[in-house]
Amino acid sequence: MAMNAAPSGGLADRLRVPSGLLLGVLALLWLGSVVRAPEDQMQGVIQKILYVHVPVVFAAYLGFFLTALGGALFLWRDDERYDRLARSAAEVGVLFCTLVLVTGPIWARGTWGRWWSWDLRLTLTLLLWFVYLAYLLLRGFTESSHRAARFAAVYGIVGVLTIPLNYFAIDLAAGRTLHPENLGRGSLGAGMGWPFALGLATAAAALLHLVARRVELEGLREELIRRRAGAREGAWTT
Amino acid sequence: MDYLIAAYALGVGAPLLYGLHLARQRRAVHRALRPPGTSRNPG
Repeated sequence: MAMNAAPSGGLADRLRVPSGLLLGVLALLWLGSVVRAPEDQMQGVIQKILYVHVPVVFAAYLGFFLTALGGALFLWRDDERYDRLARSAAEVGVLFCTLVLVTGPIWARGTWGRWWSWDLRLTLTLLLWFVYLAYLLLRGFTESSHRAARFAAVYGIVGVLTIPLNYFAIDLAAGRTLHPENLGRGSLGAGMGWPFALGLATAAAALLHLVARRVELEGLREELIRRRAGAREGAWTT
Repeated sequence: MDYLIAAYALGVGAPLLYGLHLARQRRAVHRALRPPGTSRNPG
């Protein structure tokens, strides 16, 4: 490979198209199963928001977990690739968490008659979103600082504690909440399991695909910065 | 039904748009990394 050629041919590059195709197929299967899923007797057709709302919650959790994992590995190994993973997963996680905060109120408006209620689950979801939004702001304002990356890694690890708090909010609220309980075995009616499972698989695949693309982009950007800095140094010395 | 369509439009559309944005950014960085005077498919 020539010294200045654009980097390509890595694992991320080779998996880009297959993972995109897999995601497309999963998304089509999921949407097809949602169309064919039976309507809920109590809520009617609006209950089908469940198949998008809950999967994006779990995808957001996965994104934030990857942020913590990347942060922990960065602190341990001091390798920038893990920091890239943490930063990228936080960004994609915030995107999915935003979708939770948008699809939830749409469902609430159709069932509770109002967009928002300050109950524990909703408030903690908003808190989760703010925690990682703050992480992104921190990274945005302190670009390419090693010290800031280490601080952000610790922040990302501590921030992940809001996930169990969020997940078990319904139990913590002890009945004082409008939000439905967490899904358990047998809580979905006949014919509702497949669209839900496919929704979970699609959301997880989408998150992983987008994180991989974001990590790849971050690597390319850093390569570009390095080359430009090298070119400037070369210009100074000649 | 409108609420359902809105939720799915956002749930599918937002990640799709974000993915397209990343792809566009990737192409732009690749272009910037390519040495001047070279094309993507030489020959």
